[in-house]
Amino acid sequence: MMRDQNFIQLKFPNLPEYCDVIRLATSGIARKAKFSEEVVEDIKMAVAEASLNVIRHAYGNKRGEVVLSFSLKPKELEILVEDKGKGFDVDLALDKSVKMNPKTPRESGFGLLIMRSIMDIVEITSDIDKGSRIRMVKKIS
Amino acid sequence: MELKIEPKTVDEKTVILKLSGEMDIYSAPKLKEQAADLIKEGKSRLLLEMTELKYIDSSGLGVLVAAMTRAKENGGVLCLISPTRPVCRLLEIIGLDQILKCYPNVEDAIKAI
Repeated sequence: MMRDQNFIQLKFPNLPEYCDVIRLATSGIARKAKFSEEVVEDIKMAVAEASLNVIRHAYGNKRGEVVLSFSLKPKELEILVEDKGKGFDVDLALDKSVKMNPKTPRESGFGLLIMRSIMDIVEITSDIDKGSRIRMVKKIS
Repeated sequence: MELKIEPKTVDEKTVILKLSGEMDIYSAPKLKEQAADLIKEGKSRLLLEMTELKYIDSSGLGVLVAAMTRAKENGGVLCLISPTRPVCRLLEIIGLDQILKCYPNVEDAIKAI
């Protein structure tokens, strides 16, 4: 199938030292869609958090890839963050992605909360031992 | 962009850590280790000067919580000075703004803690 010319796909190793490159690439692409700098920052944060989930959890100690796909459409930017890792229980992860209780501070479990707070659409699918996919959309207003 | 941490001792229990650059999964452990070492030395009042910290991710936020917890356990405190707008936004999103105190400058923070 021929992809739209405004489709960009990037693959990164699941290594923490590539997080800054992922952020730089995302910012550049978001700017192409003419978002304000504030929204570019938001999109960068959301993609960084989705990628961080892959880097931290998807492959355990094994090497693997974070695959980012960007579709620049007239009224929105659609982003997919995919891996072929071990998968996770989406419902359980969503249940945990709530604001911190001041009485019981926690050190992790913020990523999905951040993504859902700043993107217009966040959809997560995951299959155990096959991989996961996070689809995020930011509308161009 | 790397994370730079410049420590400045205020008194025997208080240290200002001036952060600049970006704090993510790759760089955040540096702050975690430095904060733990300072607390071990008895410096459990940590003021994080964040004016030049351009970016923080959830790993960095986790390190702030860990350092705050350890400081409190040792009779101290951890507070933030002049965090940038994107950092404040993240603190609000996850609810950390209700736990970590923020001050506009070092003088106000030292007076308050």
